[in-house]
Amino acid sequence: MKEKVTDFGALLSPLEQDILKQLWPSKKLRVRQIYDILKSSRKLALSSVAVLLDRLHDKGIVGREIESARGGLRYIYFSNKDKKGFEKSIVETAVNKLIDKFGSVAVSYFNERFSKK
Amino acid sequence: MIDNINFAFYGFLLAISLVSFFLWRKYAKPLFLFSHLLFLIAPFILFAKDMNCHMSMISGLLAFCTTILAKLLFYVVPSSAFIALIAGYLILPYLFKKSDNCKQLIHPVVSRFSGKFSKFISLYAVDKADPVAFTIKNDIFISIGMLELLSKKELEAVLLHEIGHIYNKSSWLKLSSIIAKFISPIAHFSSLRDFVSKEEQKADEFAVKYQKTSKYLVSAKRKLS
Repeated sequence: MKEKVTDFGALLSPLEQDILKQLWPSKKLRVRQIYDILKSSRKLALSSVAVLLDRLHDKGIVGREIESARGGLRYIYFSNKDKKGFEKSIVETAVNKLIDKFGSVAVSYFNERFSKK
Repeated sequence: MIDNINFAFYGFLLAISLVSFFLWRKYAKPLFLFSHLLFLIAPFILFAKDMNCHMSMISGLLAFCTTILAKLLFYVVPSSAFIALIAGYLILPYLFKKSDNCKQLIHPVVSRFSGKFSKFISLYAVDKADPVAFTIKNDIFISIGMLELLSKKELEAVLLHEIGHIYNKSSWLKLSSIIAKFISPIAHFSSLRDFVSKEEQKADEFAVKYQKTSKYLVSAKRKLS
């Protein structure tokens, strides 16, 4: 069965999605490596990639480690969850928010919805 | 008699300012910045002292309140400024250096130039993705974001700019201006911004002089803007 292409447009910017796509096959990449991959398909600056990775790190979507290199230190970024895990966490957050806000109404709606199939 | 005392008091403050200026010329700007605080609180002290000379019921109470106010200004303002200076210049940088998100680096540029200026300059990398670099005393702090973003030559230009700040003792002036502005409204009207921008200009000139080109400094600034 062909996997459905998920659009995270409402949650992530197109560039953030592209960055995540590079990290999802459980890769550990440096900012410059991600930049080198993405610059072939779109016009962007190294600083934009660095800023977006920092934002993703602040949101807890990606993690980072510090690596010693010649002449200094640098970050290595990795995804905290694979694609499926990320999707699951989005669904979990949305459902929890609905239940917190609407309580039993939301729960009975889910029952109705799943009994219909 | 009282006029003479007032005159002597202001004369004493003026003498302190002038002596500081001539003895510590390199610290003249921050000293002048702080000396205006003494002139600011002086009238309150003299007023309180004058009021104590007439001890009737109401003026006694007024004198008591004024004395409290004067003491508050006399002790609290200078002591908070002093504590902020000590904390900002000695204690906080020390704690910051010892913290987990700060690692000491040995960078070829710093090692090369520290010997030249006979100063012990240390470089620290800060665990922060935003590209920032700053200097406190003889320590240069640079974020990992900055290390990643700039090329080798651009990084050299930025480090030379920071060494220029150490050479010109800019951090002392910058910290003083921040504290003085925080404490006194008058400091906002002084030409501090000119001082600070002149310090930046001097640091840029320093970097260009030792790199023999402004190319890398300009491209680093462009990347960071």
